[in-house]
Amino acid sequence: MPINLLKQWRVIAQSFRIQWLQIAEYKENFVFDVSSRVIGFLVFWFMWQSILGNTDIPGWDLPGLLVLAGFQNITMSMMLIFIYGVTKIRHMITSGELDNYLARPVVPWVPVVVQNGYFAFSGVLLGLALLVLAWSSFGLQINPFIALTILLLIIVGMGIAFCFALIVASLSFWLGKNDLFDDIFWGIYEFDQYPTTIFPGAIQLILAFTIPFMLLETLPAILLIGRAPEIVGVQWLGAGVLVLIVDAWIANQIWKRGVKKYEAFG
Amino acid sequence: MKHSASLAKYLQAFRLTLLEGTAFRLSFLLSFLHVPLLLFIYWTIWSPGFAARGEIQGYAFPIFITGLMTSVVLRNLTFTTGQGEKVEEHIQHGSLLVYLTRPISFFFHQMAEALARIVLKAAVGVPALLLLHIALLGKLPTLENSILAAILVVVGGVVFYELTFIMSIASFWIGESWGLRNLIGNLGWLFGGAIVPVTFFPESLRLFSAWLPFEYGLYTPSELLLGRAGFQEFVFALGVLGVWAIILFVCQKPIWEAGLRKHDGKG
Repeated sequence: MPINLLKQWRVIAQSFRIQWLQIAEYKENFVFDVSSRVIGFLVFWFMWQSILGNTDIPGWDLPGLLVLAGFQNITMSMMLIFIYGVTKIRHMITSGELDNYLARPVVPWVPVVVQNGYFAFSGVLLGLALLVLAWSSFGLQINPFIALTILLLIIVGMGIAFCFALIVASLSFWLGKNDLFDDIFWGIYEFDQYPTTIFPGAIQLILAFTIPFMLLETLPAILLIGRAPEIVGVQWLGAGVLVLIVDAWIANQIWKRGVKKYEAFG
Repeated sequence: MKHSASLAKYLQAFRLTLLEGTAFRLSFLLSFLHVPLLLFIYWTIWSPGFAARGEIQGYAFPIFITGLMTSVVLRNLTFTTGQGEKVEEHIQHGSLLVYLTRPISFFFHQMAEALARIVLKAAVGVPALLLLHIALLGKLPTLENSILAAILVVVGGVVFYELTFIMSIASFWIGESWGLRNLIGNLGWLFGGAIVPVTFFPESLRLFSAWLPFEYGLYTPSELLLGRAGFQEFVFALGVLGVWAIILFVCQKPIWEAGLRKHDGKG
């Protein structure tokens, strides 16, 4: 069945509209969510104050880490959409509910993943607030070229993270019910509080193909605080696009083979 | 007789959760995947500082890193966030009604399940702790301090369960309560000494931490295992945790009853 991009987009837009209405209806929930994220940020902040008060982290100080926290909140909260969406996909594969989506004229995982969009709203809000705070307190190096590079880095990084999530979720076609995804994902997630430049190159390489914290958090922060020339951002963007193409191809192949194997027996 | 019959019901829930857990051994094993990852992260961050200064705030590197990792493992053992998710699900989906019609206390039933999960996790967590101590310090904790630490961990586990339960029954009013549970989880990380030792905090934060249960359920047991705390610290920590356990138990009852009055059970 040919996929109509306009229909795809309508599904996404409609889903986000409904979720926004839900947030407006359950305001207390949203307030608690934001409060929880603020506490999470304070934990991050005290942690780094304690670390930097006792040891040196080359290339990083508190202003830089504030910018990193801004990007961390924005991108990792968006990542939660994938995590919960992919968890749902796994459940649908093993319970046989995937049928309901296979019959629709959109890519089956799109409506499932975007229905968790409300997880991102509070994180994006706090992340933007932290970036504004960093900009007003310390001044940031921002120009249209850097802004565009950062935007593209985040889009490509999100694409890589989603492909990785879809690859692991698709394994449910063969493995059935398992928590492998959660354990791997939350394990890698431990790296999200730290700038990736402090880790050895091999770890950065592994992260580049799974959850690319370098593209999503570290590099945008480095570019905004002016610790690296703009060309570094472009080089990483090029490498990211290549990784995304490879990851997308693998994810597509595994998904298609999985759907062929799928029997909806639950 | 009535009490023993009542206790048997919860023991049965405890036993069933243990059986269910042993059927998913790999899952419990993998839930400790983040321990070696965090060891690697903490090692990367702190080793240059210790190499340059020798000691930081009275800690030598092996003791420092073992202490952090011990708190990480203990936090993993004692935080029953998964049980909180179940409580939220029962409220949201209406399956709570099934429990309400039975002659059991939902609070104690969930606590029995949570304690069973702690025991299951201990099957991985305790060997992991012993391995950490042997690998990083070259010796095991003393038996006496291990027993004192174990007592604090169990009482701490009860307190953290009570906190998680109260946060989860907020679902009666706000629907999803994962944000509140995350909040408790974050506080546990910070004040349990799983990120930096609490003695590294500024004075104001140190004072704040002294009023919370996390330090006594995670950091003090870790210090006991390292041999940096003794019986006096144990008694004080047990006292604070005991007070918290009583306060939370008393508080959960009216909150639960108010929630039930609001609950329509339609899911």
